Amino acid sequence: MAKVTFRSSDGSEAVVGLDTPMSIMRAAVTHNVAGIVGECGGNAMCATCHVYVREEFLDRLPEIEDEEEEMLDGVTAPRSHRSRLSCQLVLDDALDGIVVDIPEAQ
Amino acid sequence: MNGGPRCAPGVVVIGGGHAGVQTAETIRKADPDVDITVLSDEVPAPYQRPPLSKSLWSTAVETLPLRNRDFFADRRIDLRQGDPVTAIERDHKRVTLRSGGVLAYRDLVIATGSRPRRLALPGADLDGVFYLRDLADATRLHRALRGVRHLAVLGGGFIGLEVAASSAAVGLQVTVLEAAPRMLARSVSAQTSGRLYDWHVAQGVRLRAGVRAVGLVGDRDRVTGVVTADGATVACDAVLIGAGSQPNTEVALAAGLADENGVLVDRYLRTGDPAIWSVGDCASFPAADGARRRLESVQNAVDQGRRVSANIVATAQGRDLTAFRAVAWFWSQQASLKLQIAGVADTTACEVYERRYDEKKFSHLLVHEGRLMAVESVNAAADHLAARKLLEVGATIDPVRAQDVGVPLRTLIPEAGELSPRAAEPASA
Repeated sequence: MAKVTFRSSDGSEAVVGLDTPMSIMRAAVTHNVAGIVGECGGNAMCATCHVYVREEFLDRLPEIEDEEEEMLDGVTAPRSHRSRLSCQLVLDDALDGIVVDIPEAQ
Repeated sequence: MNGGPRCAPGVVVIGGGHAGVQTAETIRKADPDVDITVLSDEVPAPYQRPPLSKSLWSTAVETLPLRNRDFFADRRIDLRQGDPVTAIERDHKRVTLRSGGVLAYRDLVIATGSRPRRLALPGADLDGVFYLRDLADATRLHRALRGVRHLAVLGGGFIGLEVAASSAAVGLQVTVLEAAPRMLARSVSAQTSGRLYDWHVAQGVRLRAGVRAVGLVGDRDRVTGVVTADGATVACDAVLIGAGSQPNTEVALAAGLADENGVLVDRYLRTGDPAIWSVGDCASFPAADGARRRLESVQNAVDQGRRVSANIVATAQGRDLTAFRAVAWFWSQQASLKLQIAGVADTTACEVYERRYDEKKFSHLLVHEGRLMAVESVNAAADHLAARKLLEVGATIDPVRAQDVGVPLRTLIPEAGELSPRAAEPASA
């Protein structure tokens, strides 16, 4: 079982545990975590599942593909080096324990 | 779920899709007290439709909830599933349900969506003939496709090409028949259509434009072929029909609020009855150019849901309404190809300029009388995002400069203060 911690801009935290691998966007939407929308259903089309991944997990993430790279330029909140689209991050054992910050706006 | 009946009727939303759910969510944000009910005619909890076509070849059809169940409970949104509305009784400001229930409203939002247009072809009721719209459709198709070797697709629109591409990618023989002279004729320019044609053919999809299906033939109730207008038969063991969609307007029509092309609303998304509004796939609204338009997209559903909510709350508080105005955008995932469209244009009336990165990555800019109307991007997300901004501010662009892929499109977005006069108008004007 892999775990992800979502920290929202007001400081509140939600921890979601999963038995099967799924994207962090899907984990958030299916567990009612506010602030991650996923309007396009996980197609890297809408840039409404933006998260900031905590520094210590960055080197465990898959490379940013071209289309995610381009869509990240369109996120509503400021983009940083920690920015990712959570629909492109599959939560599996390798990412167990990951902590992400949810931006103020999508 | 809040106990006994309330004195004051609240907001009733018909439809549990993107538009209906967004409306309920936004109204709750602005008004903590009003009763909100969402009536979904489907039994499953509200889910996202776009992933359905994407997961046809996965081990199972993926369902992504639109919102989780607690979302509705937390916001005191009364979600009722599987009990369709049978009538709107405007004189009594209430709706009746198939179960026999009656629900009074202060404001009613019609967000009933659309459904696939059924083709009245001989043989259309044979086994092996499919449509794709909802979870039940996707589940049926997912199950059936495993045994299929040759798939015929009637209609070269978004759904047809998406299923054709993903099916060809797993080795099916796929033939697409389109009655119009080209694919996606209603949706994209001839230039983009032509490029997509080449791409699909290179993937092994057989595309036949200008070919009309006149009937389906079968053997022991199972479809075995499509008969075309020239008398030929295309052999197949399954047929997907993707012939566009029609709005779900039955209840609105009976209440005198719709015509055959949708629920008629004004620029505030209000029908002729001041207590009744409509949003999403089913709403026929006046666009900025004055023409009536009905758009089928997630973006339109969500943006209209937000706008109508603000207008409903404004009405209740005696404030002015704001006209709906948003840049429309669409996407289509066709196997590895991503098509993104920003804006709505009469494609035949526009000049088309190309930004070409390479064979598989390009954008077509559609310009009418010097004004950018729409941008069609293939595997070029940055262009698409910049196009949405350019269209939002109503920018006039130098089309020759815009063709230079060395110049990012976003650098052509004018700074605030140098906007064109039209863009500077307030949205409510």
